[in-house]
Amino acid sequence: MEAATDKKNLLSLLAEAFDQRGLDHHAGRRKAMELFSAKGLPTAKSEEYRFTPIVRALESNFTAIAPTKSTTPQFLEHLWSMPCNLVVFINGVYSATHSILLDPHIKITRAEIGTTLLSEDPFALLNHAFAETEVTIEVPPHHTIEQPLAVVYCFDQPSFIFANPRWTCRIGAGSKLSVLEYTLAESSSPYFNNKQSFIEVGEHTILELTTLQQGSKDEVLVNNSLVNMASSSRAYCYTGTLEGKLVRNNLTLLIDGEGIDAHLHGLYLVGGSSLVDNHTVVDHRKPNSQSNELYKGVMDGNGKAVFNGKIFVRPDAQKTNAFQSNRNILLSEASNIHTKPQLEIWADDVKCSHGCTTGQLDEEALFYLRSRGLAKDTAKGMLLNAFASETLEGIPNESIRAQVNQLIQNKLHPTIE
Amino acid sequence: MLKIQNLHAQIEEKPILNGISLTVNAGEVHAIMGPNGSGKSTLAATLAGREEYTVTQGSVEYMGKNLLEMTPEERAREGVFLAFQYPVEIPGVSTINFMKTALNQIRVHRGEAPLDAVAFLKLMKEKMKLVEIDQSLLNRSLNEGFSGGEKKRNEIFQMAMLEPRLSILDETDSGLDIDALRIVAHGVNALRSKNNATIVVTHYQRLLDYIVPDFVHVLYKGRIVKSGTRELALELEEKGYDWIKADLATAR
Repeated sequence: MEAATDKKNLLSLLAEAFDQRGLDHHAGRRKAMELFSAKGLPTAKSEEYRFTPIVRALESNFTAIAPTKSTTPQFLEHLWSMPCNLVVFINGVYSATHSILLDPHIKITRAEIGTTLLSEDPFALLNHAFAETEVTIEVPPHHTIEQPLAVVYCFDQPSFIFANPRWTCRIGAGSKLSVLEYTLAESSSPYFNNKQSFIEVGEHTILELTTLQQGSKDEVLVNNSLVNMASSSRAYCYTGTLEGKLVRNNLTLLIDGEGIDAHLHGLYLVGGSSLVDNHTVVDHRKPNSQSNELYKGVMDGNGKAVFNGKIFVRPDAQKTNAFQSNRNILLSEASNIHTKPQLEIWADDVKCSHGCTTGQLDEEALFYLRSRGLAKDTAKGMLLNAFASETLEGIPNESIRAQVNQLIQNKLHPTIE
Repeated sequence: MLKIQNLHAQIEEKPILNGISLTVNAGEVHAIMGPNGSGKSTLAATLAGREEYTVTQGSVEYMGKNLLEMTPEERAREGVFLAFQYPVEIPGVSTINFMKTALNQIRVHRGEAPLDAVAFLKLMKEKMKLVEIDQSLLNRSLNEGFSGGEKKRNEIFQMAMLEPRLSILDETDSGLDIDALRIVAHGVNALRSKNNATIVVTHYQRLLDYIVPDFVHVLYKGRIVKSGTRELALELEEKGYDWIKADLATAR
């Protein structure tokens, strides 16, 4: 009963904020808000959010005050060694001043939010209702963008922020783009980053999307990421979660053409009392494409993780090859993982497989390494790193891969040389 | 170097070692023989510090220190090396990668400066020759997809790299064809010196044709029931273990 009251509070807070900000004058936002209100916030009874109590994580300090963009973010440091085209959101609000493009072929425009809903996920609807603006990044056809496009979410306020960054990226036919998504935040700032992105990948186009989640320890993050792929395109999506109180990733790939090659890799390292939830959807709508998915997780302390991998193979999608694997290591008694592969296949001439494993650290291997003189912690870090680094095969760019690997190593064992 | 006195050990409440006493001095090679299930591998694992085995009685003194109080890595750093009967496969960790970290942690423990990449590579190339092992194998995931012979050569390669004082070879001959056996034995013999000692645990006498022991002990039901010189091994080869068992029955 208590939970129901709190839920109502959060809902009414959101409804009030929507009215106060005058957002109901806009048809698209109103449509999203109405649908959101009708559906309500997810509870433990909602199939898609059964194990992921986002409402509970939010209600302790939620305020729906409009975020202000900071004029001088002190810590817009660069995480990567290579120069990047920058798209910067400060406290959820797009900052034109900080978004600096190196490649003149990339165009960024801002527009009022549209009326087409991308998804009926409650948080996607909230983003639609509250996002400040629609940022559209366009890459023309037949251009390989050499420097990665870094989409950075900065949080520089000690108080709670309800952020709704939103962007769309259209990559023209025969082009290539590498997108790096990451967060810069003070280590303990509380915020709710309710992000929505939509990437349209043209024919014969290559997309590399590397998402690195290492924001604040008190972060609540819902990452709605939709990728729409056209014929003969290729995508490498990597989602690495290293920090955060509660992180939910909704990654959806629409395989909407033939000859598509889609790769989804993910790694989640979950400690303390954090929760990381990866929901992926690979929706094969046309024939002759393939998808390959590998997600791995290491849970320690009271850490919890959820993996739900949906693969749809529609009646038209004959000759589809779709593979999925989820592997987990639990380091403590109190840690846990809910893993669920969900394959729905309507075509009859396809090759699909899935598998999931959950186990502990291999004690035999640990003893072997220690018997060679390695300190227990070093040996443990080495084994975990070996387990985790398999996911890095999903990052084609060597330099990005090396840097992500370094961040993973630092997290798993700070002293491995 | 090593003084085992009245050692009792068990796994999950089941006693395996029932009072072993054995003294090993520098420069010596001891062979431990015995039928299956006599406790040979348990003795090797207990000396290396495997945590599943609980010592219930007795003592093990190594270089004047209490070995049983040390963690597996402390034992290794003090110069104890176990060549595994079944070397573990570790995907994603290459021999080179973990040996460099291991060797340097051992060197730091000994008060020596860690080796840089160049010095490490030089040492490695030298030791690779000893067991005729290829570098491509050492770059691969540890023991993954290795043949039986390759796994055992890798064990002896690691032994050569770490230069232990006390080497314990647990059934190193199992899974080896005759060529691999010769290579492995050659490696072990090349590493023998008056400063180090070797314990060879084996079921068959065959290995002892190549690694010639100074002493042979027969382990049965967790006790050393007979000790002798190399001739004892030859006698066992000829008469089999039933001879020892019968001998023991008569003695009672």
